Amino acid sequence: MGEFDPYLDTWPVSPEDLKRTLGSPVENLPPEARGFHALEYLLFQEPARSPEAARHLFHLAQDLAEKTRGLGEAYRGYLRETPEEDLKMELYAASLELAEELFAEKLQNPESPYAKFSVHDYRANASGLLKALDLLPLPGRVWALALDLQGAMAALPSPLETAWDRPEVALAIARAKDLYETLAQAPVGSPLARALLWLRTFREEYLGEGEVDEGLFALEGLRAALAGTPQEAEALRLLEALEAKVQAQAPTPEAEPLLKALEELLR
Amino acid sequence: MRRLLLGLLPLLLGALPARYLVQDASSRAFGHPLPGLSPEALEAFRLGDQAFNRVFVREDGLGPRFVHQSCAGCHVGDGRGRPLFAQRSEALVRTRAQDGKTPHPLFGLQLQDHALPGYAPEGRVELRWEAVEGRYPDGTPYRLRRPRLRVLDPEGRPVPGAYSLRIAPPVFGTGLLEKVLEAAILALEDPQDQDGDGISGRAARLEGGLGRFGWKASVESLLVQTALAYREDMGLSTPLFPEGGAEVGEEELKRVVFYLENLAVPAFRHLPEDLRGKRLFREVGCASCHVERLAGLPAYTDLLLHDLGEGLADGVAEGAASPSEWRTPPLWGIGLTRKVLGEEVYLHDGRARSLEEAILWHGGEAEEAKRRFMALPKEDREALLRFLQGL
Ligand code: HEC
Ligand code: HEC
Repeated sequence: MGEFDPYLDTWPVSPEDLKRTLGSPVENLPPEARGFHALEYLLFQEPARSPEAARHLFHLAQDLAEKTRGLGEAYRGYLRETPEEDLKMELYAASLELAEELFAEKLQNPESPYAKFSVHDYRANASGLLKALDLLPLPGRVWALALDLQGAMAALPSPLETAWDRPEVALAIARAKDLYETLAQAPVGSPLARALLWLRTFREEYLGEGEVDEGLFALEGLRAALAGTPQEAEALRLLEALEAKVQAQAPTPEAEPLLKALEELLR
Repeated sequence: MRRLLLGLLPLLLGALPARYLVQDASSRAFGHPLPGLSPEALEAFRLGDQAFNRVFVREDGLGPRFVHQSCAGCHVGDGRGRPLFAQRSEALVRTRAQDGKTPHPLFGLQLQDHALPGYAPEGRVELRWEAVEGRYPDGTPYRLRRPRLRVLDPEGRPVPGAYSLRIAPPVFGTGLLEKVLEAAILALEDPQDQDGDGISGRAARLEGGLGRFGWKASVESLLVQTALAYREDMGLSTPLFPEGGAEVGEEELKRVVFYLENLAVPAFRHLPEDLRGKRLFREVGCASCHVERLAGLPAYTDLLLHDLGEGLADGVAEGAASPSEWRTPPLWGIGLTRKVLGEEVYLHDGRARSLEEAILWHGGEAEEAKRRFMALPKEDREALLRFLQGL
């Protein structure tokens, strides 16, 4: 979607360049003088009153509508072409990022500073998040936290631009953070199943056939599968000890206890 | 290429974090922090992320001449960029006089192909692709493309010079590569090819240390790389390159560097059946340069310069590298390129549209490895490519 993004909501705009380029054909304008925030500026900050400025505003709006349509089409194409599993992963990753942005960025800085409309953006974000999470196989707790977040967003003062120090904002930040942290612990997909597959391969290749390189490759696969799982830190300690054994071509009795401990941990 | 003594390994592992892999194969896979950062470090990472994505405009000191407005504009999703010269350029052109060594009389070391309204850009890039055809020994035909680049002045006239097109490489994992001890890199050098495998490889010795970053390893640290990016790519001064002030302050510069230092690497997605591809990767000799473990890191690079032959030479000498020398790029995460960027572009100028094309361009020290790859039966070539896709 990269080809549309810069023309939709590049932030910040350059007020100076906006003024300098008033009346120039829109397709020649740089990203920081077009898109949503340029319109916002010309509507709310320095309203376009001259006929020339009004015409320019009209062209900017037309351009934005066109780019939005283009994005919509590209998006529908993407949905058609992308396998369900990938879509799930994308939706999960995007939800996680949005939750993070809400507490780390959005709820600390205005998103539409000229129109003072940020709170409406953020409420829409929270509702969108709820809808997205509804499509994913997630534990109920995530869902409950997303509802809490939506509640906290509804209670935000409006306009937000003059109310950053209100307790409702701090509460919404805390809710977004809770959601983010719980969601991060509930990855979609099953890395542990893959980890067990690699353990079995290790058993066959190294203990069974005495293949050192293959054994090491299986341990690398295992390391990758463990990433991000709650057992990772502990498993890595065992894994590294096992790796050292394999590199030293240690006999089965030395490797076996470590392998057993790993299997226990991942069951 | 000499084998690293196993006994040396623990010594060389040094200060690398034990956990650097993250589980994500989505379009956001390259943007995660190293696992296990403290809450304060995570906060700093997020500020760095914002700085990396910050769009600069005139009011912030952008330009007046520049290539793009944000780091993330070229390093898309913390990954690579496309060979695209448009409203903003995702790639850049290194420039030299016609001797390929001295700075270009008009453009200096890098072309600034954009400017703020009211200023003229230094020049405009005209890029066309030329088809190159060939066949595998088994008769399978292939079709590659090679860039033909011209730089035009504001009146549209071609300006003579030596020009090197560069796409933005991925930035995740660079913090880990920066921490690799010099000794671990030097141990892989074999400038005289003493082991007779046809592969020499030499470290890029620069004034400030070993070159590790950029397609020609012309930069020794993430700090310098970042300050150079602000200056050359966005027209912004920093405390490192002040030019009468610092449009980007010390704090922001450090934030971005902290961000780069702490970006994690996406976990490989191999299955046991990919063992075969991995074995082939090693057998045909890819792993002589794309070493499977550099100081314990599965980065698939030796960070050394190699002569890759005339086909890839760009006519430009830079840092310690000659026109035909390139740094072995890391291959971790390479299988997620399409997910993150929406398309595939490989090699320094983005000429390769698939991993297969990237291999077929290898020459010079890698000629033998390429030849062996080409001589493999089709199923084996595919197994090797599947292994790369799982990285
Ligand atoms: C105009 C596009 C562009 C912009 C903007 C840009 N870069 Fe780059 N970046 C590149 C290119 C091209 C290279 C490779 C340069 C070379 O070959 O020497 C590169 C290389 C790098 C590398 C080295 C990666 C490696 O593996 O060698 C890092 C790190 C990096 N850039 C960080 C940044 C940061 C931080 C910013 C913002 C301050 C930034 N870049 C802005 C295009 C860009
Ligand atoms: C002599 C060292 C050497 C050998 C051997 C070698 N490579 Fe490379 N490889 C390089 C260098 C150097 C580059 C960068 C060339 C450029 O950008 O112009 C590269 C680039 C690549 C890239 C593109 C990376 C990117 O980020 O765009 C891939 C993929 C790759 N190599 C795979 C392989 C495979 C597979 C083999 C075995 C068939 C192989 N290489 C053998 C040195 C080597």
